Amino acid sequence: MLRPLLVLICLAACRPARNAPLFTLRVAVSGSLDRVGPETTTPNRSALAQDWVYEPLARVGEAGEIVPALASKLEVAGPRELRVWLRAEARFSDGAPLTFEDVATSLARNQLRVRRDGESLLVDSDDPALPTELLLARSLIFRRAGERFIGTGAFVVEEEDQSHVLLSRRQRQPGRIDRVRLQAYPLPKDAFAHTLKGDADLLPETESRWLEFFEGVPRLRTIRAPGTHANVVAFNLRRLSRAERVALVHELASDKVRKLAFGDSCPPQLQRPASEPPEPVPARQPLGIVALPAFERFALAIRRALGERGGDVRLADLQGYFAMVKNGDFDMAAAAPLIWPPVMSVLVWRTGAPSNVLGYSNPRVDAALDARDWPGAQRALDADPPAAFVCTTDRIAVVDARIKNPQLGPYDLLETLPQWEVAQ
Amino acid sequence: MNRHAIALRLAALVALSGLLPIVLLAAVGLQILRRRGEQASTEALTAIAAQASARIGMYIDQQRETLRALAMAVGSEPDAARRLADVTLDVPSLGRLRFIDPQTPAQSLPPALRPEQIARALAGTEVASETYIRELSPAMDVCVPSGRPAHAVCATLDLLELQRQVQRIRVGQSGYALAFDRTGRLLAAGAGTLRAAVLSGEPVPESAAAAQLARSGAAPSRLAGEGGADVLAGWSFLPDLGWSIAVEQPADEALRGAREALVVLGLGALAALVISLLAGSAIAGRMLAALEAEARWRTAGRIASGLSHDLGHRLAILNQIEQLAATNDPDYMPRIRDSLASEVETLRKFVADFADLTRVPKPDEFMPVELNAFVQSVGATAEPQGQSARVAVEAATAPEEIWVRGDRYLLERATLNLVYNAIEASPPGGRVRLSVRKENGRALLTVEDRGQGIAQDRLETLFDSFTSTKRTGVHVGMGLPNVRRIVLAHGGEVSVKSRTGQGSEFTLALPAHSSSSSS
Repeated sequence: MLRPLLVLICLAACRPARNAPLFTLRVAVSGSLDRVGPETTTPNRSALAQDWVYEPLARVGEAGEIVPALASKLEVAGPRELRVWLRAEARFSDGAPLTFEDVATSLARNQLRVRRDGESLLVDSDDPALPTELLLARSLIFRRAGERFIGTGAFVVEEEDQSHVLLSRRQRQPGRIDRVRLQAYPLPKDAFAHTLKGDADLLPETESRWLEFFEGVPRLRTIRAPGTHANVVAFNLRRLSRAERVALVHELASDKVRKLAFGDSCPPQLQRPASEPPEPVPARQPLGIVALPAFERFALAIRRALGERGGDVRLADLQGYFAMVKNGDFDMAAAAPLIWPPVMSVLVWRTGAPSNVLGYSNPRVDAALDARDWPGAQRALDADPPAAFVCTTDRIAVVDARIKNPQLGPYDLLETLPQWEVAQ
Repeated sequence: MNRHAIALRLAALVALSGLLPIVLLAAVGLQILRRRGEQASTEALTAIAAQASARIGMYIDQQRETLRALAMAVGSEPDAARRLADVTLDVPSLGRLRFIDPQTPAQSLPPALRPEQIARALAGTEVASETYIRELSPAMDVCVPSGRPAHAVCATLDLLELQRQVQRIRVGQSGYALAFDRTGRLLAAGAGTLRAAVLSGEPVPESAAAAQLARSGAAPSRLAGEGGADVLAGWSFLPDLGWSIAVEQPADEALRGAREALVVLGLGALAALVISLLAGSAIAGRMLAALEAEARWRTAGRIASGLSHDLGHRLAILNQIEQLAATNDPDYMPRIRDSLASEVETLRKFVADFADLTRVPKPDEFMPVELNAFVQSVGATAEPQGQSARVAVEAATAPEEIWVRGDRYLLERATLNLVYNAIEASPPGGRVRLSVRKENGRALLTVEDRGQGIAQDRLETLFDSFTSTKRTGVHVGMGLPNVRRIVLAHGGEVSVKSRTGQGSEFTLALPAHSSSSSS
């Protein structure tokens, strides 16, 4: 008599609460919002939601390696070729199964070719400067249904316009975020203020100098993750010899510059100059520095580190800055290139790579990058440095304290959000 | 009322009369304490605000002094612009330093300074803007003479340090500080939720008070803060900058001590009352029981005394009769018979008196009794006794029917007792009068005589048990107490008026009923 009663009590206790309110996470972003599509790019803040609606076949893992996502398995099949097995149970949000044609269409947009080989697919890239695994991780798989794009991610788009994007989870999961609402504000300051006020629950890409304003606000907590961009002093390779650049790295990749420019908010970069000081470089005309206004302090710190050889600091907007760099109208430039995951080095430093704006070319670096020998590539870069790596700024976000396990993604800032758990 | 109820009532009376004045006194004292506490809290908050103001004022002075020193040291150098730019690395709070002259383009001038202020600065006068919000924190543009004619060094002071100082101030658990400009705009907030208003410029509840302080030099010390919460506030004003510093604490928290004392007092008083009631009731109960036992013993003693006296008297008479009978003289037989008959009658009355005491009135069994008929019946019953004492017994009725509810037998016993007493008290040839009337909803039955009356000193104890002084051999002092017992049981009362030498008047006052219905 007692046992069935206990079983009933347990069943009643374990049953999920009926009509539990939906948990909506409000995300404050600055700038414009647009349609959440598989090819949405960074200036459009809707890109934050891409990882929740669409999935790639592979993604960047915690250690920078490429791990399966929508694929069930990955194998290196050749120098620029990967073998991929699709997850049999993968379904788009409208219930349609994932097909070869969907994958081929999605990957073609990132210059990847794909062909069947038995039960697997072979994916490759023609261009040695475009690493296949990186392109694979950047290619979100979608299916077109009329004017709409459909993904396989945990969320679907409910509403979207310039002011907001509302996403809801395809299948409700107890203890997880049910809906996400991106809210656009004109300026970062406005997004910050509205988060403080309680109008938003998540402020992505928070600057470290803002953090003290969140002290004494128990509703919010700060989360950090290692940065993917390095603060570097890029050299004009046509004006500065290898010896000069090695000597400059010794002077600039130092704690002195780092602390003066960024304080404690920027942990030192792993790259270190040679332990023995190189031969002093004969003094010549002062070295000018170009920088975006946000990097003025960095540029001033560089100039101070150079002492008498530090030249003018020229601040320019984004367009002017890139024009100077492209035209070679600079000695040094304060910059922040992507340096993580390691495969990113191929895009930035390999000869002819699209992000190699300095025009750097080093056969030893190219060979190491092609062999995916990242330490070897770094050693080759250190021997003939295109830039002095100063530090990597942490990525910071401020999030609702009810989220139990907020963790920033290893590559995309909020790619882990679908797995976040909510305190009931 | 039983003994327990009497004990409880006694205990409550004692407890309340003892506790109430103490509680009232303490409550008044606590109110005074609360008022003093509020005053002391406000003074403490004002002192903190004054300290914060002093620190902020000193910080601004230091910044401006640093700027002056830098301007004088670097301003006349040929590479002044570059050296001033480098200063930003060492003194970030000065922001970006500008070396200006009349040719400096407008977009390179400090944004918050008006053209006439720029002109004065270039003429060698130090000028400063009002505080404004730049990015996230307050800022102020300041230009100082550079030491070179028609040139000035300008800085945008980053007053993040002001925010930090305000944010650092904590009072109790949830007290914080706020800083306002002279218009009441929030510049820095210790409360996290209010910091958004620093950026948005939205007024906060304290904005009006801050503007009032800037205008009139006074601000309220108690006001509605964030969310309408009642807060105590201490204010300080920096006249040079036009800033108001408010340090505030929720009134609930600031006055928690007084409130807790009030609660403790209330609980203490309640506990004392309960303890007093319980202990007092127990003690009073025990005392009443002891008194009752003592009274019972006294009563038993009085009864024993009365019985021994009266029965002894009877015994002596019976002894004499026995001695007469022992003579076997037939002449004595009539006397012996009369004496025995008299003694038997006396002992019957004696037993009847005691029997009356054993009969308990039961209100549930009360029946309607019409008093006019009742007094006529009683008068008739007493008439033989009156005739033997040569006292006339009269029964006067009322013009209307007067109904009461009661135990007719007991009411008759009580009334007869009074009538017989009246007959005994009346001299031969006297008169005893029974009358009834209705007055204020009560039925009054009066028995009056013109006898010798009762001494005033006996009237108070006349209805107490075994206090009769007649001691005629047929009274043990149970008559009048029994009358009172019966009347009280009927919800009425008995009273007596008497004057020595003029007679007595006993009145039974009973609740009158409107009709003979038994309900």
